Amino acid sequence: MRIIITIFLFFSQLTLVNAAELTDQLLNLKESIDTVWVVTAGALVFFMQAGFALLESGMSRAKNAVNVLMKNYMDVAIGSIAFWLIGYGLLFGNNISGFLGTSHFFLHDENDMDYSLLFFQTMFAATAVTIASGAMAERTRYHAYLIGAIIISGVIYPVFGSWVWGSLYEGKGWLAQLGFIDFAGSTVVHSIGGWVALAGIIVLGPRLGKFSPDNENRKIPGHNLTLVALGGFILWLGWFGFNGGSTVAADTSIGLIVLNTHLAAASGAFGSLLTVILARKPILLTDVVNGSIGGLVAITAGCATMEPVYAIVTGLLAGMVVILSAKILELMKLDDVVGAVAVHGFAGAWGTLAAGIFLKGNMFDLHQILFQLVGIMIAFVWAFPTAYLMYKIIDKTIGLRASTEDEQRGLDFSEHYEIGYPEFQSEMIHKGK
Amino acid sequence: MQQADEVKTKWHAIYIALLNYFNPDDAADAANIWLNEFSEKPVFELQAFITKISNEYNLSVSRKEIQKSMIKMLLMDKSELLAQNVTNTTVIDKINNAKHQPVHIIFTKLILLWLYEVNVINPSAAANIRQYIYDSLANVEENFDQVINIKRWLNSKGSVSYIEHINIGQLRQIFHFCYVGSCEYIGPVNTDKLVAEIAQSLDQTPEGVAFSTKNFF
Repeated sequence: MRIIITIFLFFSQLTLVNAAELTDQLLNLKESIDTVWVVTAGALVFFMQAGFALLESGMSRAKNAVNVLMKNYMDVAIGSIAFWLIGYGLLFGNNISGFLGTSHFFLHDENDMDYSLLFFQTMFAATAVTIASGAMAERTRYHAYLIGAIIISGVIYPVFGSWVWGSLYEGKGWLAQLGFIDFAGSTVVHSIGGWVALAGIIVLGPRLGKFSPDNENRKIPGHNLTLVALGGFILWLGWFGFNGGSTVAADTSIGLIVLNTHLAAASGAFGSLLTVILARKPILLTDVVNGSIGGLVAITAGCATMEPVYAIVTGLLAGMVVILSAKILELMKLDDVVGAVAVHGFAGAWGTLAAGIFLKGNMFDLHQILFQLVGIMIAFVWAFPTAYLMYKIIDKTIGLRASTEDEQRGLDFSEHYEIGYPEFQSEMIHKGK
Repeated sequence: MQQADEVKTKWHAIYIALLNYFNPDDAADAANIWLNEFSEKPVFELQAFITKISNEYNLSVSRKEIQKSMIKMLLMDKSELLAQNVTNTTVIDKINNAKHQPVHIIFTKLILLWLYEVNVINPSAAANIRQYIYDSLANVEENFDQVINIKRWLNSKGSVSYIEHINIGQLRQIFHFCYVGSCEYIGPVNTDKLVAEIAQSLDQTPEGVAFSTKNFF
């Protein structure tokens, strides 16, 4: 009998050891899969930079194409380093006060998952930075723009981000404590970028001749609509990583998130189409592409927390918001080359509100809607004046606006001494420099 | 928009054809008769237009000849029409190639053709651009006589002697003021298109080969 008991105890011990080992192995495997997903999603978000570059360059005139591409290229480069140095710490570092992260600057000697997260979040910072570049295209001095890009990725974006997402290590952002929700950044990334862009275009003023002396808004068409459409498709694809990757884990909720993302983009395009048809205006490719991006921006806040039917409503209304807000900006004589303020600022604000209205299990809750409104307003109150002050200081010190001579020649030549299409622009090559 | 462009091009062609038989002011008036009464009518109505202007202006030239030259111009494409303008002595009629440097000749042609083309699109815009150039020059130029000379030059039909002492840097500045004024009054898209077209046509002329318009950009 004693022998039987001994054998039983031996085998039960063995099973327990095996179960613990198995659990460890499963946890390791899950972490590995999470890492693969987060890094892949980060790469998709990085690819969005190509989308922005094509879209913005296509919407600009040929004489400024290289300048726009150069801004997008350096946004990623400079923005990434600034975010690693200071931005990540401000955003995700220990946040006892709820107002600012105070640790994890120039991240090193941390565990593997932190590095994956830093990589993923760096791409978010680059996205926030690049939004302003399109709005301010064709008349901004390159060096001045880059200084702005460093401050956006290093300070303006992470500070607001810490109020909402700053609970990774210790503490919690004060807006998050209040109940404000923004899953992947309709406000944290996009509206912030949009309001920065708004400040930029106010300080810069419109392009030469954009508004006639009798206040007529003159269309200045972009040079390559094929690039615009291709940029739109790439952004659409990249957004699956932007929203899907924000789970920061490879779990089953990704299916709903990417489905909502896709449906909102589709309905955003349809919403903008419907608006121009109802307004009896021509159906422009640029409006439809901007409508779909507006849908993507809007669903970013609530893609994980609403049913697909509401994702469609969110996207549809975002498409309309994009067209109408762009019109309002035109009436205010604000020259936004690519419509970034409408797409990221206004559609982002609407999407954040929609995330509160259509919150699964708690729909139409007035408290939640109020928290969302507070968050939206705080984002504007933080980003717009700060960016306005920043661009004003840059303008007064080194100069933000390119000279009219440079605008005449095109920034490709005056800022970079190279042009995008030498075969076709030979008559515009200036010989005096 | 495209239709309006087409009408402008046709007006231009008719105007240039009429310059063979009329002085510039009468040619513009006659072309305006076409614009107001015949531009929306079918092509065969051109005959009725020619009859009308022949009677109104007591033209002794054969109507067939006028019609022939008009059809020739109407069949030309826009760049060829511009080239016609470049060599047209009534648009720029005082240039003496022998006396002046190619730089001043080509610059005169460039700016006067530019203003002439703007005038076709929008007559008040051309006057506003001239005014913009004077005002801008008056702000930066210390030499008052220089400004007066440039003003006279802009109002002349190609008297290069007014600007013969102006250096390339100052010519570039005048070009830039003209560009900014043009963007303001006819829009940046029309301006870029117009400048590119005129520059392309001028660079094919002997003066353009000797001194390219690109130097002013």
